[in-house]
Amino acid sequence: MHYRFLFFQWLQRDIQSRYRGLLLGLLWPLLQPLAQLTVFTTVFFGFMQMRWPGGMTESASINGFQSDSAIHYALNVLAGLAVFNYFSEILNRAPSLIFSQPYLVTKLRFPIIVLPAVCVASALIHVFIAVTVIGIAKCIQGNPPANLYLIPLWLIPVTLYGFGLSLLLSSLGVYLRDLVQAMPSITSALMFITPIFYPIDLVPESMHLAFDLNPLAWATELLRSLLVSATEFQSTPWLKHLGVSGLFLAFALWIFRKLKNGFGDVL
Amino acid sequence: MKPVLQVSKLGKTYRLFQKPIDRLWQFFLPPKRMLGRDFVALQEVSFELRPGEALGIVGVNGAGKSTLLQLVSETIKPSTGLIELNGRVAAILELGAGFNPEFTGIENIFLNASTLGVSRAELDQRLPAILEFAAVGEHIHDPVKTYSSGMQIRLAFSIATSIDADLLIIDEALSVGDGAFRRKSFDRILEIRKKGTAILFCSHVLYHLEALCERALWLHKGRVQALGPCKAVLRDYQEFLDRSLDSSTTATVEGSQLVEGSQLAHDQPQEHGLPAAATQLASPKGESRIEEVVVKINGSTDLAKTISSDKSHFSVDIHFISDPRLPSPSAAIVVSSEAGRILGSSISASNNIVFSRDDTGRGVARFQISSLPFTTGRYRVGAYLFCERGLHGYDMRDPCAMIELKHQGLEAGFFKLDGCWDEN
Repeated sequence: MHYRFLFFQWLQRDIQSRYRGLLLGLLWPLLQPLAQLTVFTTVFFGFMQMRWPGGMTESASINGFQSDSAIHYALNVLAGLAVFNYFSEILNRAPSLIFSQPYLVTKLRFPIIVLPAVCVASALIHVFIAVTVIGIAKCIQGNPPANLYLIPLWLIPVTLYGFGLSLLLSSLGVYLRDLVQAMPSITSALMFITPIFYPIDLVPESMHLAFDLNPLAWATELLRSLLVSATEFQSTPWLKHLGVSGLFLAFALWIFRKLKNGFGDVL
Repeated sequence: MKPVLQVSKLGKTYRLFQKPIDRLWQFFLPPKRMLGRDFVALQEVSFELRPGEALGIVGVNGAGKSTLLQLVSETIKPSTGLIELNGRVAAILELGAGFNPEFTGIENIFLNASTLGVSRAELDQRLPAILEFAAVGEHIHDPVKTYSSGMQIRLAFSIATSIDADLLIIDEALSVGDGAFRRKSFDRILEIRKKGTAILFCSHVLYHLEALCERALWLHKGRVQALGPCKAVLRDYQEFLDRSLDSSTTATVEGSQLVEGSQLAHDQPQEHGLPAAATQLASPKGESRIEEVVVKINGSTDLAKTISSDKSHFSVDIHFISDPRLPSPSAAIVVSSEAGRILGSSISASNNIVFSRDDTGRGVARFQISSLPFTTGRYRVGAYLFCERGLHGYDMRDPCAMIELKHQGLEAGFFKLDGCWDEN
């Protein structure tokens, strides 16, 4: 029972330690994606004339059409960034999570699994902020997202994937310090093989397999369909990912349990 | 009564790997294929601990004490043997592990307490007591990085001992902090034991062990050297330390084991108190200090010449200053060989002597003996100041004087036996 108290204490301190003492404090998780968003929208929408299908409203004037279309593009990118920032935070933090706190392993009776769990929970901030911003924007536009209530369904596999990754990387990271160095290159590659600032329809047929295997691509597309384009929710791919993420988490837990026994010896 | 802790044939073998990655492979290779080589840190350790019982653990550095405590607190896994725990365990292996210097004292209390396994309800109930013991006052709302190290230790100890446990594991936690804190923390542990908590206690300060534990476990090179009544085990252990000390100073060191022991023995006096130079400051709060020690032989402070042990009226005046609010301190005189082996001592607390003091807490502890029983040789005189019960060391001067004695006759050893021959 006391694990809950423990978990929330660590979560609270984790968030505090990152944003306290900063001038803008908790505004940062909001400002960061907005800055990214501005850059992407300016470059891809403005300079490269990239358009998102489904953004055209019939009755708009030339100017209105342009700004409507820009916001539509930006909201789609924001949904993609939410997913990407969530996963990339886990990828970048998890490998050093445990070995940077050796005293928790060697000096205390501490349920070490709390650390990867806190990491996932605190990365979910990115998702909550993006969902809130998109929701508000859609309401202002006059068509509030009807499928908002399905977000918890979307969240389940996304959390399972994240927790699995976090367990796997944090336990392997104790033995393999190289992971810390490898992560930035992996996340920057992920940014391009995930449809963040382009719609998945632009991907050539021959490449579809790579995107089908990438849970980020699926999570991004589903989040968009729930929030931005309001297309119908399809349960088959969701069930498939629920199953895969569940299996992945089980595998990660197995590895974590196995490797955990050696933490005290290494640190 | 069911034992709180039962340890049977416990062993720990560390495997040392050439490359960190080898350790990872080992998890997935069949057990027959071994990478790296083994290092045995602990083997065949068995004992049990019942509620309210305290077991002291001694041994030179590298004997496996820390490994044993880590195994019992389940931060590492045993290689062989079994640990059976019945009840909740609290471990103080390192004070303040997990403090975040950026957070305030109160925030660290919550974080640290939850880390140690205290529940929310328990913490709410204990908070006033924690704050009172830590005694950091208004600073509790300041970041911990602004605290003095003494304040940090007080806070950490206060949190760590606030948890209600059936077994408390303490590793050297008492040998930190100033005299006043050591006294307070020691009392706290005695209190916890009275409530029925079993205690596993590891320390180099032997008189702490003796005051707290009924039984002691002496580890040597990862094995149990002795397990039994505290007094007997500590006496043997002290003898072992003395032996290593003697052999190292007479330059007949054989093997590494003796060197290890002697290094530890040299380190020892530091734990009994602060070096003389650091204790010259005024106003002792919660402790006592030696201000001056006057050693006289036959009424003279001139100790340069050799004295005949038959005619050696010997007196030591320990001028001390103490906190007037505390009971008057007790004192001890120790005579050791030049190499540091203790030959004889006298403790005021065991004779129920209470020294009188003036209003500022100043007083003189005088010890005298009509003649010193020692044989020819150079001897070291040490003066010590303890709390009224003789448990906490406040201050020491060792040596406060060196004396040179000679005796008539051919007797060997350090002193003449005070007996008589019967002619029949």
